[in-house]
Amino acid sequence: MTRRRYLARRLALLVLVVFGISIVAFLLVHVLPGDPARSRLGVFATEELVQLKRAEMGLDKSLPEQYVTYMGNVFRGDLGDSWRTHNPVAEDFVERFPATIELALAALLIAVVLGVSLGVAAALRRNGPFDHLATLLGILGISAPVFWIGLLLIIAFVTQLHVLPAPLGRLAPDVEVPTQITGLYVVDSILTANWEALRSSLLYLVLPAVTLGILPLAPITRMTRAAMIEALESDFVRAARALGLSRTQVVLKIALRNALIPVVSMVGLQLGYLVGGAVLVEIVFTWSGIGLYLYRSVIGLDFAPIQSLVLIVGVLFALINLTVDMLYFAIDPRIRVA
Amino acid sequence: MSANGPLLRVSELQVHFSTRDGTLDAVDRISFEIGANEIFGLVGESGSGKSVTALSILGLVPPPGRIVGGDIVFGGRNLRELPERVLRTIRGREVGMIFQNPRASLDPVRTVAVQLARALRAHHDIGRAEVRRRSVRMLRDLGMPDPEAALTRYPHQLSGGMCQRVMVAMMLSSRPRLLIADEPTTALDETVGAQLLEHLRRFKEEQAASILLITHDMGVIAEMCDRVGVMHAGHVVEVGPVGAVFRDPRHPYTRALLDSTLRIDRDSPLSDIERIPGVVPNLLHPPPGCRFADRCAYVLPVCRPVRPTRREVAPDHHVLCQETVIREFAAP
Repeated sequence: MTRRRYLARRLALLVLVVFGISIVAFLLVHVLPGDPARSRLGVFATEELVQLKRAEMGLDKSLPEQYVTYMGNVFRGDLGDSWRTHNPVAEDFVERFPATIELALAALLIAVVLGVSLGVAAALRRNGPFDHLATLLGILGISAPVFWIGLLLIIAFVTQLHVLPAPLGRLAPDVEVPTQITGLYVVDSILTANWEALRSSLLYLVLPAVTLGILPLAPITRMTRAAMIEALESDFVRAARALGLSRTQVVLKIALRNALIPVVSMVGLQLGYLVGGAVLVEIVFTWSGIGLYLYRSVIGLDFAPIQSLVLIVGVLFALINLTVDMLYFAIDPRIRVA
Repeated sequence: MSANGPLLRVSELQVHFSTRDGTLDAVDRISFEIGANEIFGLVGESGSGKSVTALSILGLVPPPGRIVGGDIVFGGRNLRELPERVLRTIRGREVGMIFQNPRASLDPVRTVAVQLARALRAHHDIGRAEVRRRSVRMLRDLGMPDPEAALTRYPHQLSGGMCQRVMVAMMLSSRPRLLIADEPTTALDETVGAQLLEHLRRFKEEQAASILLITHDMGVIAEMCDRVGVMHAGHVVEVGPVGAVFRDPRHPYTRALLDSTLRIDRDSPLSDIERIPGVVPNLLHPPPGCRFADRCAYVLPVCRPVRPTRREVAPDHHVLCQETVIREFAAP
């Protein structure tokens, strides 16, 4: 099958998946405990008022009718209003999304760079010091909860060593927010040559990014190590060594290049889990991204944001998976889907 | 053999594999020489230590294997005493090696062009255009159909024979003085295999190079080699000129190998094939004496407890066996 036909099939599948996600997101409001109409009006509202509100919100119509109305609104970019912030959810989301992206990308960068290096070092010297370090980090990443690691890091670097700022947001309060281009403070500071903002945003970013990065670090390290060991023992690496190629070339250009193929799909999957981990990390570090927004919406029974976030994160996850599969075509010439 | 010493001299080479269950004695104090411009065959059953011997020469015995004794003298230098850095300049440039499974021996994610360029640039600084020119020429010399197109292909898009041609091109690109070919025809069909052997022979003639040809096929040995070493369970049991060894085999194992081959050649019914009885002994706990004793039709009481010594039965013809057996054996 050609790449184009494969892509077409995957896109068709994506439509189905998105449809499924939208149903789940839609039904969420009807499954969750609590009446959205009553929760807006408060416990002292009369039954008539609640009924009026229900009619106003369209909650008295049949479920399919409500779904069609809901999806129609979604396609118009109307995700409903948050009664907590009094803003349209879409607006709140656009405002907070870059913060989460910045956090997730930084965490992923840390996890990939550290995980791949550690995995390679562990594979090159099995049972060596790096191999033991990799095992230790693996156990830590699996068994220690993210928020706990975050708190430990805060105690160590903020409370004890005083080298990093308190976990309150993305910038020091006296530093002006860099001109918005991408919404990622680090990137925007670089683009606008705002070094003060860059320094501050990096200082605020490092702890939450490390905390979140520990989550995907363990699986990436383990996958790299296993794939690297397999590659190093392969016939083509032996043949490359018989050719007299340098060790660096054999390890990095041949063995690692082949070992990265399974690692890439692993990283794609981790990106999805990062969004889940981001909720906890954002709470611990008061990082004003969608994780914190979601948390506050749940606490406040603010249904519209919850519903929208389920939809958006679900679609995002599906898109990431599709991208990773497409990436396979680029990095593995052998892939011809049957 | 040339007058001014052999190109390669392996003496008392010993390779151990440390396993969970103990030390595996894969190659046990073997010795042989390969002269200049000579094809030397190494023949034996699977697991007899042929490939490990070959990899030892390049210093590429895979862990947990380890060379624990002996010397490998190539062109006057003892390869065992050279640091990895120097050994690397010998690999590919002076000693090349082609492997049994050509497709698996090529990098699956790179095109033929990239892999040939790697080989060409491993030891020489060559420009891009020159790399391409030489790549096409090498592939054409090896009988690759449409070499220009082949350069853009990935290994999985090529047949086994084509992969083998690519690997041979890579390994011959620096015109090594010694080429090790480890069962080069096993993965190929008959005609392609024959073409490859023909090419190896031509390479030897044109470059005045030597070849260490590893095979389990006595027919290939007879057809290709000047001299031959017969391996069994980590020992070289007989070594000498092909003519002498085939005409007058002195080790019972060599005789058995020849018998099993010759009978097939005579088109006799399969039931006539004389199978060599028994299996290669467990090398984790090798018997103290002769490792062929349990399978040998001429075994004597002395064979089991006493390790046989290497004896010269004729000029340049050595046998690892008890003298009494050799004598009994030689009697017409």
